[in-house]
Amino acid sequence: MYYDRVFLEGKGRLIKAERVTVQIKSEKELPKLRLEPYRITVVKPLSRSVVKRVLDQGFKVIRIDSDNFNVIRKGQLNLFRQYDVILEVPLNKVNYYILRTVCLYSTRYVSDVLISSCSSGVAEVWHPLSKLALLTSLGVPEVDAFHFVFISPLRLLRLLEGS
Amino acid sequence: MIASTLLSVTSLAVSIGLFIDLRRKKLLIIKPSKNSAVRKTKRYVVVDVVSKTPIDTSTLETNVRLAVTSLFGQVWLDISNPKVIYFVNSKAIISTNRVGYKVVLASLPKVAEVSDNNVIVVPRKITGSVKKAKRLVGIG
Repeated sequence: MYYDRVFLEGKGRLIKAERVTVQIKSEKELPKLRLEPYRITVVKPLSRSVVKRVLDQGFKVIRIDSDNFNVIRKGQLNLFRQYDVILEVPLNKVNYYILRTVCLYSTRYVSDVLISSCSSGVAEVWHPLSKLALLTSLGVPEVDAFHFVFISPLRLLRLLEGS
Repeated sequence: MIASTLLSVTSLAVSIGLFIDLRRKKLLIIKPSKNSAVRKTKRYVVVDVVSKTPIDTSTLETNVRLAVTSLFGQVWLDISNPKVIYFVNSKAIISTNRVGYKVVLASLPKVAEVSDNNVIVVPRKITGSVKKAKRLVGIG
């Protein structure tokens, strides 16, 4: 029920919540970022130095795709665990190597991974069963795949309620 | 030396005779090993097909097979071998096997366009019998 109201990019329709994705290239752009109530800000860091600063500011959702996969080092995964970060992986902007690597590392370091469709139309939306089948066929354990597909979005909603 | 050889040959003959006798009386039954990879087990994926224009069965099957090939390649297409066996009232049954049904499920979002029309294929249920699959579609 909440899927089309909250997780779409931009302003929500029936409730006040909105979801915004922000790309950050350098530390000069950091003052633009502000935590606001009823807003999920998904940050996409494009340089290594920005990651720690973004986490210090209290942002909880980090996006990883083909552009910034090499930016994040293995050492920074411990940071994600300390700050209890949710990682978002858009399905149409990554290759399956990245998806597999993020999911396999996150079972050890990060508690929650969001597998988002990031679709431009209704036809591109991935059904949860298809996501589950894709993750398991990539070698992700079935328990973790179930957690990523069904539990992690609920945690994102809980973040919103907390705000 | 000769005595021990004679003893071993005799014991072997006795054991072979016992084995043949038990097989003949059907007291000793040797079952073939149940290798789960070899066992042929069918799976039926019930899907809803949402599209503005009507689609025929063969077009849907071709697109599903193309989607499996694009995502997993020719090897998994041959293993899973998806076939659309029923397509009634915008509901379809895709037959596959236990090894490859996840491959078919994962490939369904790739069937986004059929003959220049946007199509959504939504998986509903996976069953092991065609009877139950037909019941879910509403034709059984």
